[in-house]
Amino acid sequence: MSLPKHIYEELEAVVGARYISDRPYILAALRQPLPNIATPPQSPEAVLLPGSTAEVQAIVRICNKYKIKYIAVISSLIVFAYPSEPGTIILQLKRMNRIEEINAEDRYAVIEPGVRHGQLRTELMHLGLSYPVASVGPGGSVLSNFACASGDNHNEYGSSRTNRYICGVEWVLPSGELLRVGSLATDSGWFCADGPGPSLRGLIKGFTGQWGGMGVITRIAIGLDHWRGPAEMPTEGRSPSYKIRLPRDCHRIHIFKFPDLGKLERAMVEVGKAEIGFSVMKFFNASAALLATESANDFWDLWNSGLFQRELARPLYVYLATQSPEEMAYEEAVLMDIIGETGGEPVDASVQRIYEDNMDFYILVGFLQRVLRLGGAWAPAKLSGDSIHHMFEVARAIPEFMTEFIDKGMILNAPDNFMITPGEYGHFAHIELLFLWDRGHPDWANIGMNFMRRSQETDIGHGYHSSSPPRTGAMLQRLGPLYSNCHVWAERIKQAFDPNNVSNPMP
Amino acid sequence: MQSLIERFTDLLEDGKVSASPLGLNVYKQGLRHDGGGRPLLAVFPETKAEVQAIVRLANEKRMPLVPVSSGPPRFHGGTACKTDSVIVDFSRMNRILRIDPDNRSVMLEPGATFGAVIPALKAQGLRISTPLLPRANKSVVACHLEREPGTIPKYHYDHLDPLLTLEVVYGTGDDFRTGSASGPGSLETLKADKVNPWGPGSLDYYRFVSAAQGSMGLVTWAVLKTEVLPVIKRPYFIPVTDPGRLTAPMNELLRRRIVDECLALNRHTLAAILAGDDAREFARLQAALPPWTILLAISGYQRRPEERVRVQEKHLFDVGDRLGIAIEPDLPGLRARGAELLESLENPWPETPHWKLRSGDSHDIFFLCPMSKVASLILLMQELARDAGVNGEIGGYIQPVTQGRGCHCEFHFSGADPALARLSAEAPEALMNHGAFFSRPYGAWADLVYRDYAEGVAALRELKRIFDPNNILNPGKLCFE
Repeated sequence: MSLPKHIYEELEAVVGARYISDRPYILAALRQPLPNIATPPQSPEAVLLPGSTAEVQAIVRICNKYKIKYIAVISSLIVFAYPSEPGTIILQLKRMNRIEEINAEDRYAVIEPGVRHGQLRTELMHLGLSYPVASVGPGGSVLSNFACASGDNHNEYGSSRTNRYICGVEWVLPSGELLRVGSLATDSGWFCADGPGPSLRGLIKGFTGQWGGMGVITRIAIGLDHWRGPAEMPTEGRSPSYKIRLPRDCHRIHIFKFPDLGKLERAMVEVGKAEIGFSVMKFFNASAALLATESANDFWDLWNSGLFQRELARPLYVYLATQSPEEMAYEEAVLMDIIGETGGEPVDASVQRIYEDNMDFYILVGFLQRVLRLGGAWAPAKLSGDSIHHMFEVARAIPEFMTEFIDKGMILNAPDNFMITPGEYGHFAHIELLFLWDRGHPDWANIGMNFMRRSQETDIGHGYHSSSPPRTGAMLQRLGPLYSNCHVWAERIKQAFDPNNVSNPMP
Repeated sequence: MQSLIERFTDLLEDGKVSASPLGLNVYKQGLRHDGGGRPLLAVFPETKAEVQAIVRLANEKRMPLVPVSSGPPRFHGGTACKTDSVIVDFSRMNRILRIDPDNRSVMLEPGATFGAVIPALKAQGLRISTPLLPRANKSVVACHLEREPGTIPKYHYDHLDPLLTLEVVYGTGDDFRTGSASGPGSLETLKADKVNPWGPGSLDYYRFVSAAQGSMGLVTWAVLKTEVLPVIKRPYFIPVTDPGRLTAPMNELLRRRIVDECLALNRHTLAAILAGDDAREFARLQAALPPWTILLAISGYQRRPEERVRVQEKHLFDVGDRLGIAIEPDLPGLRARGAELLESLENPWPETPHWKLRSGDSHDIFFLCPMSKVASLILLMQELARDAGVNGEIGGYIQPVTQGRGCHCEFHFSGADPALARLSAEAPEALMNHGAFFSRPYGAWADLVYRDYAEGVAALRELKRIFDPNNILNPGKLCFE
């Protein structure tokens, strides 16, 4: 099915012939390519590349007029960026890629959706500024990560989830109206996204974003932090074999291993209460092995050696970034006190060296897509947050459902491949469990969903808040009653703001 | 009226309904503006079920409800009745439900006050973000629901900080829990510590009830962040003559996260705080103090506190040297009062009347702006005061927010001079036209901020229709009918 000619022409009149296409070979490239999804991919009816907010508004109004579904995308790293049913068009926003303003004094940057982490972060470092960069690689859209997706990142211990840093939003509502929230409401600038009165920014993002389901966000301002590193990354070698080491007087990496999760939890809580460190986390071990190697063969050699299973089953990663050598001495002393009290030990020097040689791991992960390298299927489970204590409770229950999948050979034997990232000096934490499986397995199409369902059922049975209900669809209907009947309110809000249900509806 | 009292009395136990005129007068105390309506009776729920029953009856009778959580006086008019209303007084829902030192959080009912919460937290080695010297009977939950800023900007990541999760009874009578308090399951079976504020799902429900003056829902408890109580605190002060030099040191210190408390007071406000109700002392202090004083604190926490203080003091003086400013260990010209002032910032205002009321009725004007606009808006306010015929100085308080990425600016003045009333009425529009953002639009400010914001008003009214379809929750406030 393709768009009727008159609708196509109406859309073409908005963006110009150069920025619209319905050619099958182009549309085929916009089908979901994720290897873990078994359903046949769906092509969109057309793809448009708007160049301005006004063009986005005009397109959205046409979509409402003809009840055409639309999905606004940039990086397309997740399944929600792809059509799930016929009658959908794609708004690829990559032409809207301007950094409109960097205000060093008031510490914010105004950006369009097509601005990538690699573009903004490097620009800001020259000004001594930074922001929490999500773990999506340098090609990820900053706006999408802050306002439309999840926003957890390796640095949230010393900063926060990215949604905390939104300072202003300009947004085309599902109806096509333009809404500017916060201080933009009275033309007071881009420094506050809440108000006047009740905060409308609550419509665009909760724990996760709306994934394009509440219109199209065309500009945001993000808050900026002080950057404690050099203006340019001191890099040796060339990708993929490169090293980035920041000056040791104020930048140091420590990785400790713990005999059990209880001691690791204690250490993480105490580090947070002391307010030391810039990045703190319990990282994945299989994913760490993928990041640490440059080929699939290298990965298997490393994984089969057992080093990462032994050293990084229960690790505490700590990156100290200080303003002076004296502060480094203080923070290291406090850290060693805590590690001594909680029974941690340094990991093998070869593992520690990996992170000392690639400090970009904590800043802007340039090689994140290595986690996809094995070519099979992978998926995350859990993906929610509460206290450090509660996330460790959730982690302790992982073997209850995971062991069976491992024993039956359905997934990689990596029971410790989960991450717990504290935020805001340990005021909350996030958990993510990554599992990998082989598409050659006879039941490959069901493994992912079965695993995620078992994970969720286990946690619900325990009363653990380890996942957050999705935006719409059957899953929300099923889970909503367990989460304060949130499905009732979510659907009322979606209906009120998107009465034609055209803004990325999910099945 | 009699039937209304009877219906509420049937609903609640004895002693939880009051129609005494004397008692109802309390709800008008301190309000500068008559909302136009009267409190008809007050109800005093003690449980969520009672709150739900009250809301359902109000829906049936189409009777407006105005929630009140703090004791008098009330400064901003959020609880003034626009039409004849029933007051829902939360003063009996005042329990501290849980203090959690490991997760650094506290769970409070809406009637829990700063006077009760601060000492309870101190006993556990914790502290909570407090606005500048709040009165002891001020509700902690209502204060932070209304997005009042605290005095420690480094803990303020977001304008809703330190609010985490909450339980709310919407205008429909349905209850709802936000963030990781939402589920799975009931509150009794849920194991989460309720400290993740976002969601559930793709909506930030807690933002919809923030700065809503109770018009979107009635909050029955909230979980808030607390912080480790420092073992050592050292006060520092920067005297400032030119408002144009006020924000540079605060900006630099906050972006480097060197200081805990960080705020600036002009000599009128600082003298009012230090002098209490002693008029002669007020005059003496006002003459002795510099036009503005920046108040800072360096803290050492539970581990190696002296070392932390030593390191951060070095950073502090490095910044002072770089900017060419003097950083003093005590209030300029007032020996030994600095430590006393810093100590007082950790506590509610101990006396009556509140420091803002030393000359009687208080007018406040407050707004948000970026750091770069603070000086020009201070100068504009001074010019507006002169133009209005105000004699003498007005109070000024500058509070950096969101780690220094914005500023709360507050001007206050009290007395019966008609020039002050004129200033109070006329200044907000001029300030707004020069970049002031009235993010919490009380009273007449609402007309100012919403009059040219049609798309936002339409969106807010959609939300109001969803959460309070019969418009019974504090009607007439903000942009609502």
